[in-house]
Amino acid sequence: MRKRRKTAADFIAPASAIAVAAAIWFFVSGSELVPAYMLPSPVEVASAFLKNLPVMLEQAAVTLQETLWGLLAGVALSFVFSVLMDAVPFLYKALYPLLVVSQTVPTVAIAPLLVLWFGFGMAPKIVLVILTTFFPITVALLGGFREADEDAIRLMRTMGASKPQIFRYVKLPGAVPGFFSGLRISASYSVIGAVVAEWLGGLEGLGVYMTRVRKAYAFDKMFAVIVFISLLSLLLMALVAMLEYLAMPYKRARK
Amino acid sequence: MSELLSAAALTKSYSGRTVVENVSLTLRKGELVGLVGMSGGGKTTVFNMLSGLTAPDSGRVLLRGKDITGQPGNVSYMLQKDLLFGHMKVIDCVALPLVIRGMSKKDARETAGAYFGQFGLEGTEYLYPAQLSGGMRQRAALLRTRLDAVNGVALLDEPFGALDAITREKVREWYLGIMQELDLSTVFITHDVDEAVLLSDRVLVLSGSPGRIAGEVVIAEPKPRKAGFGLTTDFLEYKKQILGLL
Repeated sequence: MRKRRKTAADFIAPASAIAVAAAIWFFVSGSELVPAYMLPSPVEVASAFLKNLPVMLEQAAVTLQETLWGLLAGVALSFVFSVLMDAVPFLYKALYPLLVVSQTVPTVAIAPLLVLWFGFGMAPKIVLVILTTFFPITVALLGGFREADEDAIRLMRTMGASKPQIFRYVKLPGAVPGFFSGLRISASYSVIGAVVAEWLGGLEGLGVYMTRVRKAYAFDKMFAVIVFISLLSLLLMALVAMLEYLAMPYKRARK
Repeated sequence: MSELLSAAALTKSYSGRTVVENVSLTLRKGELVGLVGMSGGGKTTVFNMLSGLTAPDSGRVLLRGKDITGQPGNVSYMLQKDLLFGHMKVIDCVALPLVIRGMSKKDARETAGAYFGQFGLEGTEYLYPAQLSGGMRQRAALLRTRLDAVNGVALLDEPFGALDAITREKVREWYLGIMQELDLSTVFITHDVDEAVLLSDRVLVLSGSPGRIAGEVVIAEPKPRKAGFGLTTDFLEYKKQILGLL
């Protein structure tokens, strides 16, 4: 399937929605319907954002490290698990329900435990990011492997292909689009995972900074951090989209 | 002519229903044998057994006298879809059987590339399959089948079936032209009786349920066949014989 060309409406529609939301925000905070200390105006948030950018960037360096290490380890683990589960049906049957159950455990509940086990450093944050990113990617990869074209596998078998060769030429390439969908979801979860872990026990990072400004009732700064974290997530998702673009040149091939 | 591939009394059932029964056939060197039958009549099941993908309940498949029953990798098999892998360049799709047998990617590309002209595919080497027309994709799949056929035997399951009528005519004509040079001994499935008479040295008719070989029609017309063969009374006579057996 080919992507259709983007039209002006594709940009105007979301831009106008954001503009309307900002206008409502501006109106609500300006009309003093809500006290200013509870809902700072967009202008105050923007100025807090610019003023605190150096501090936030400094803290973001820590959060991003945790995020990226966690994401990398999560992807690696997902890959190992999905390959094993695809190759050994017994493992699939044994582990799949556990995977699903693991998703129902709230991360906020595990984070303090992780701090208890791994201390206040980076380790518990990385583990939490792994826990949040592992599931979407593993499920996406497994889906891709298991839905491989049966006829393509039959063709490979008639050529005398071994199981690893069938994996290399049919299953793995078939799972690539699903992998990137999973990775996009995981990338957005991962920043949040790291921040939540920092909230619940840490010495530095955006989550720690956030709890600090909250305790100081600096709501403008808090909103600024929220915006900053959103931007970080978007940036990471854009990075994944770029990787996806590079990994599948055949999707861009035209007649 | 020496016997290359032979099947003796192949029988196969799926969940209690016998699909094909007591099917025997032989393929001699250089022959093109058509296997004709109704849809769902067990033709593909016969091919699955000949290729070793499926083991028969009873019966044997021999390649040059060696038992290859239930052992894939000996006989080249072109399935109904072209199955060119979308993520690979055309040349790598075509050269895949060579790489699977252990040839380096570079050598495989070189070997496969030498055939691109003959198969009307020059200039498409480094395109992706999605960029080819239906006819070209089919020719690429045929070339891959040719390269896979290290034992000189190929099974083609409705090789022209997925093409539109005009392309189909063209690819078939082209195939008639190069068939002699390919040095392939082939069994091909079709449900198109005209196609079977036009291309085959012999036509086997699979009919009934479970499918059995109802008879064989030898097409004595010399090869390469002339364009007008399809309009002769001989052609109609062969066609009548096959339809009578179906």
